Amino acid sequence: MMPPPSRAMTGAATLHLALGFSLGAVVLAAKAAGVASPLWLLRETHIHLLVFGWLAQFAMGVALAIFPRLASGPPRGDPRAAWVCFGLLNLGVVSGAVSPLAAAMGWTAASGGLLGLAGACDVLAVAVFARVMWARVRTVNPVWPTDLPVMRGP
Amino acid sequence: MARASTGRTAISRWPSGRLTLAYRHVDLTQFDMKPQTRAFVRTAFVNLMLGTLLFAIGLVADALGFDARLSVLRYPAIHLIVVGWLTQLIIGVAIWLYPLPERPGSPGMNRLGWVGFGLLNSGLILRLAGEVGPAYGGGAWAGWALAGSATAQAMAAWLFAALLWPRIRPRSGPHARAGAPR
Repeated sequence: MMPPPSRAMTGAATLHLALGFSLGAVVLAAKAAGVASPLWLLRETHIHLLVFGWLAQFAMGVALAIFPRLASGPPRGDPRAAWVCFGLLNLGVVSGAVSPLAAAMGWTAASGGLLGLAGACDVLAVAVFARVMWARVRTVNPVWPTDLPVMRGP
Repeated sequence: MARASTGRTAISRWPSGRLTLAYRHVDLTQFDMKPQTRAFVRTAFVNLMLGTLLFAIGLVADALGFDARLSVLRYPAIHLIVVGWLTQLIIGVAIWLYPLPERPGSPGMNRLGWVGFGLLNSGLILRLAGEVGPAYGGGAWAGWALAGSATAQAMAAWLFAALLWPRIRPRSGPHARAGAPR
């Protein structure tokens, strides 16, 4: 049911969920202490991990698995493209997550470069994903019965 | 076992009294929405409504000259929508639809989901209290509320990861066949 790129994406997304929430907890704890802290810099990392690494990646992984398959060719589109999407997205997430930390170390140029890399990778990943999925946005399997009786519980 | 069949579709009543509906030998009743998923999804809807309402109040309170302190509601409102709605809905549906673990899960795994559910939602409530508290003279306990919220939500995320990790795998059985319904 779940193809390997889909499993990789949902697995990585689950890891980003746990990491992103943990970083968010550290930032929130710093806020609770009520003092200005360099830990606040983790806020950008927290947001990048959760928006792209968790929410976007999980949705993409599930869409790859469950959208209607193609009638000809590879049933779920080109698997190599799906892997490229996975690689680009995670490279973008890691770059975007590390960038604020580089800025905190005073490596401004490196931070800017990482941020640019993150943006480019995220945009490319989404473009590749759209290319893979475009043809799969279609009518579902016509042999699936739509008039089955529905069991109603209490 | 009583069985009524029309070609590919079959309804069976098992000795236990349970009714199952199968299509091409795939038991469709296994996809019934379980109580845990219902709790996650319904709470997610409540959080969406609450988050939207609080965000709207936070937006207009300052602009329309109401209590300006209400503008602090925007941050926990975004949190309610992104964590309480989106994340909770995704986790609830994943618990429902993901392939079951290769080895049958212990009842403890189910309890883990409930603990995560409780931690996530209590973390959201504490976050709301911790953000709004200082504006209304609750500065003394607001820090503790935020710290509690941080701990509860981080623990919930790790519990969900532990719960879902063994279920990220190919589905075996009739679903894996090329001709299976999809």
